[in-house]
Amino acid sequence: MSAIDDLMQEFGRLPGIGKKTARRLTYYLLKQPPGDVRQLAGAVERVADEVEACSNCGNLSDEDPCGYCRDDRRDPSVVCVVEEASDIAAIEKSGHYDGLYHVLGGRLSPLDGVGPDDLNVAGLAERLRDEVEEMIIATNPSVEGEATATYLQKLVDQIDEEIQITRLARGLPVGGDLEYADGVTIAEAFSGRREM
Amino acid sequence: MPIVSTRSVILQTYRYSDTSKILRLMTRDHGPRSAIAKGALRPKSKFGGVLEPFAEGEATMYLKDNRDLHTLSEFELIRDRQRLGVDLPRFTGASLACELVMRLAPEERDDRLYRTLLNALDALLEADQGQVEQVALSAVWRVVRTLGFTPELAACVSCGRVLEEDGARFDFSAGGLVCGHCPRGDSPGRWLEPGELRTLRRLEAGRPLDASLDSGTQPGLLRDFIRYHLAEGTSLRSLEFLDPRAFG
Repeated sequence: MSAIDDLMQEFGRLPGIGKKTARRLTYYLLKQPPGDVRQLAGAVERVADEVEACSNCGNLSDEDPCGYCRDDRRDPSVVCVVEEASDIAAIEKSGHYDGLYHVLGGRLSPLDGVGPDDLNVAGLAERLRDEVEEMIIATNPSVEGEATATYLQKLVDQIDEEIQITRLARGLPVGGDLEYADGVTIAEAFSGRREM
Repeated sequence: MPIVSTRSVILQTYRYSDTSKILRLMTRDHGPRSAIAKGALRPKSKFGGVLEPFAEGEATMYLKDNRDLHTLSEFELIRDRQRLGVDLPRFTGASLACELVMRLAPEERDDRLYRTLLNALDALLEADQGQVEQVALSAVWRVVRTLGFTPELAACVSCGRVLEEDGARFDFSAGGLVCGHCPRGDSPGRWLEPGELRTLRRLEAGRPLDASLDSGTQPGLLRDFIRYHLAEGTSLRSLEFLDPRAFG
């Protein structure tokens, strides 16, 4: 297989990239200065060599413990549980959370063969025995995310009933239009309405 | 490229690219189909939050001949079943019913199977808290029956003797009970005590259990039967979670 075919095949293995896009990306790179291509290759190599799951929270980082776990300005009494490390970036972008995180590495899904043993749950249980006062469950608002939240709630109740368990609110998106919202979202917004 | 509109149940969803979702649907009019919902993951998607497993809706799709993946244009929600996610036994039962349909439904219209699936999901959704496990088992047995794998539980499959209250061997390869008088082969199966047999009959017929009946060994029995007959030796993924101990 030629180097070009090899690269196209590798691109084609990435999620959301079909044959055409793989070919376009390959030929785009071939038109770039060799130094730029090597820089990209080096970045990919560094990620492969240096990034690992944080031994404390499961976040992907090139340091262990990760920057969030080492940051003593963050509130260690609150842990926000997310499905994937990429969810942390979305929460951080909001600038409204200063506690710690815990990455499950997925969500319960019998259809995909994913059970509790496949998630980073043992590590969470260990952390909750320490100084945690609140666990915020930030799994996705999907059926699987809900099942995962239910499982975590039961797990935490077994460990320490004193730990407060909260779940991110669900409902209408900011800037959205009620008229075009779907029934499920409106129902969630009604059940999660709050006093003004 | 005909546009079709048909009632459908979402069996499974998975992410495709940053913005799209692929759905496995059980359609009422065209059997199981896969469809891509382009842009479904965008915050202001026209699909909103309705494209979730177990939901039923009127799906409008561009059906293409000789294609495995069709394009979903609209999904008008009829009933969402998000609440199945807040109870793990309900969630597992619903997942197993959907997986059975996904793996074994014929590639054509099957009204009976479609109705059975809907009834199974609704029964799980509406079951009283203490009844969830038996409703789940019963719902899955109904799907198994509708798929054409009804076990013979009234008479011995070998000699035809009607079996009343005695125990009997559930012979998976023979497709039902074998009485204690008939020779026991090496085929896979297990002996059922009278209480287990009564429980199995009620679950399989969709009748509620009375207080004297224990469903303790039934998940394993259903799991082994499905594994032998329907999963062709391999396991269905959801089966591993049928045992309540799977979730600690």
